[in-house]
Amino acid sequence: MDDRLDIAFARWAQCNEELGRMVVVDRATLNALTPNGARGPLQRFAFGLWVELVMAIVPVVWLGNFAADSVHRPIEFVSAVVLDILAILVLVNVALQLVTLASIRYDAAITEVQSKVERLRILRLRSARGIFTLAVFAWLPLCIVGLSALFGSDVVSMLDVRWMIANVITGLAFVPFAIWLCRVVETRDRLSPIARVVARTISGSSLNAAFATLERVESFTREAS
Amino acid sequence: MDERQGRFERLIEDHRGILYTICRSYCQDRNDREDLAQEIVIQLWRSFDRYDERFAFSTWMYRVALNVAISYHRKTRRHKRHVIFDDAVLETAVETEPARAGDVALLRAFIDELDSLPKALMLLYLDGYSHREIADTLGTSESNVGTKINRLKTALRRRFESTENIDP
Repeated sequence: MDDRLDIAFARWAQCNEELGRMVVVDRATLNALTPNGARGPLQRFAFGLWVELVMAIVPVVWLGNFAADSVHRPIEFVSAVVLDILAILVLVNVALQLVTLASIRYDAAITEVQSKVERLRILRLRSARGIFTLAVFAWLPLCIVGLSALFGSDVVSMLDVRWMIANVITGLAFVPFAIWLCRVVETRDRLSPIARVVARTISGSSLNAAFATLERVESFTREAS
Repeated sequence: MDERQGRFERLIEDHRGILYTICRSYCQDRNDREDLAQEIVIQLWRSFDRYDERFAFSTWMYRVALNVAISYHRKTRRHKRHVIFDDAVLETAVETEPARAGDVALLRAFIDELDSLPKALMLLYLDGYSHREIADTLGTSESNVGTKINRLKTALRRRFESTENIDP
């Protein structure tokens, strides 16, 4: 049997050698790929993260200013501070992703790179789930700050306390319902690819898959017994 | 074109077999394969400054290419291709691939079914790399590589045993 295996391995090598001779590299395309402007997968991702970082800085600064101006209006002040804290958390998360990304060198050992890539994915998925969950609770402060910024603080004083409480309760009930719904629909064939990604992110399936992949990578490096 | 770029392109041309083998092993679809080849070439070029010429280019290329291939393989969402890269890097009509018949076809099927990391290990092993080199490329110990290769060979042996000898 070992002979058969060895013969198959030798033939495989022979086939690959033949293939190596047959394959033709298109010089013009290769030439177009090598200017410094060409972006690989990591560079594209890094560019997206830098855009996210800039987009996260704007609300942090704006909300900080708004909170400072609203110190004497408790409802607006508290709402702005809550939103500012959330915006800072998003900013920190994006910064963490950039730091992790910067540590990835594709010419490092495969398990090391794949482990970092998977940790980055986990960070991203957690952030997306966190934003979804917190957005439900951030809706009310967002509404208060938005109304105050657009129409002045008088409009905010017209908001009914019962209406505010009802909003918070609705938010509380919505999160588990949305997670349940996403779990139900994520396996449906008719779902579009983007909707599936969203459903899997909210339901936590993507996060579980990322943890499973990370575990596979880490167990691969552990000594086989 | 500067000297560095010319040297890089010559090296890619000399090692095009590695590029094709990895793309073929991680992508079944031809369009995906071409996309992956481009991603690998871009990443190789961007990492080329860090390539230490005291070591074999093929080993370094395997590291980068396998890392890109494994990440690409896992990705669920595909990026659109740039118009500039409209042509394929590698011209390889599937029809021109040497016929992999009998046990070699079984071996191909076996590799196709492997998970990303064991697949990388198997490709390196079949390309004749030593346990030490495979361990360095994968980031694990030499003894671990030895054990895993033995397990893969046992599984492959079983696969061969379960089929008749169909080698022509």
